[in-house]
Amino acid sequence: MSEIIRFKLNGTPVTLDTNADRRLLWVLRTDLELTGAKYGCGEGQCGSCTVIVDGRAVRSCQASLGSVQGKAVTTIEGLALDGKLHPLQQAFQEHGALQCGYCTPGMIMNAYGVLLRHPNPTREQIVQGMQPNLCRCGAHTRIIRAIEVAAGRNGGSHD
Amino acid sequence: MTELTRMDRREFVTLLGGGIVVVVTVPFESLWDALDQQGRQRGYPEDINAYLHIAQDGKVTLYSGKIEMGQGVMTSLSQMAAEELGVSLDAVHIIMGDTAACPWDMGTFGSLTTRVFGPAVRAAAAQARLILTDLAARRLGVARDGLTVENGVVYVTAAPSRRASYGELANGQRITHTVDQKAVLRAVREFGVMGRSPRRLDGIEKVTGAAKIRRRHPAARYALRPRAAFAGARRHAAAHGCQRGRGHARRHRGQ
Repeated sequence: MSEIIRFKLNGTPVTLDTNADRRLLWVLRTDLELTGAKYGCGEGQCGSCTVIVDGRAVRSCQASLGSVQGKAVTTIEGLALDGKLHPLQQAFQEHGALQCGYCTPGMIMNAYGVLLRHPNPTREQIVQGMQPNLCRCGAHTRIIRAIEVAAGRNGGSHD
Repeated sequence: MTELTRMDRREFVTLLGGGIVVVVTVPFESLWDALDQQGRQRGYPEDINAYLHIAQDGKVTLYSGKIEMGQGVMTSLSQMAAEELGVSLDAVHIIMGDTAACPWDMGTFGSLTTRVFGPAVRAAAAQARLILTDLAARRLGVARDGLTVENGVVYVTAAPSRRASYGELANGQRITHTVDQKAVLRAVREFGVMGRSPRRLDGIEKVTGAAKIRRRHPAARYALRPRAAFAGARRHAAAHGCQRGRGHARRHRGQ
């Protein structure tokens, strides 16, 4: 049941000895105390649990811990570099692309994934790319605007 | 005058639906007084110390029973307090929903924060400004109308180097001094902090994942409600480790 799982988490190697079938979301939140990723539906439908695994957006409420063996996982906590906000985070803040903030980490991580695939996305590519993420507060138009702005700044990378 | 404030939402919408234009001729200040009255009736305290604390370094703490849930009141209530008190928005730190520290509140719902708690905050902050100005007047030996308040500092208008800061005047203590006059709220044309859209005060924490959506008690355990995967699904005791059974509702345990 219990296995050694090694992976990279926000750039740092991590080793865990636990049941590999456990959902990544709970391992992040409970074992690793990274509570940025949120439980919204537990069914991979709302996107609030989204993290990046080897450059792709993954719904961590569905992904098993074992599935990240040997991979690079990035969570919202790993986006800022040396205390400097990522352009996506900066744009979300500047454009008020949030209200309650519950969907926000998932939105930003999914957007990060979109920008990795499309560094200079059209609006349509952004909208299509963000389909997996729900915002019950209704901040969608500002979220799209923030992603457009972030993409305009060096394709949404830190440089 | 009070017709508009006494009218409930259903009546108002009915009137609009009928194509009747409702013209409000009441002065804004009187409308605000009516809303303030509502707040008092609901139990908001008169004591300004229930809402505000001014530390020795001039940092202002605003206590609010209302909470932030995305509607933006963390920021807008801070703006209201800063405006009436005469300090910058950065000087205000708001504490929300702490039942030990904050004034009684019936809860955050019904779009009532700005409408009913707002007036209470503005009234308390305006009164605090008046009292601090009075304290400064006594300290500096001038009449109140010879003073200007700017950024938490009270100075003699004609001789700005003669001044006293809010921090010096309040000194982190409860403000027990009183002025036998009700403070006048700032008019819209005077607004320097209200009437603007600053970036949300809760924004940075939310975009970094640092925001805690709910306080965590050390002994708290977590539970998830089982949900039927489809109509007619039977509940099935899931094995430890969240095994999914076809045709059965899942019972999850956060682990």
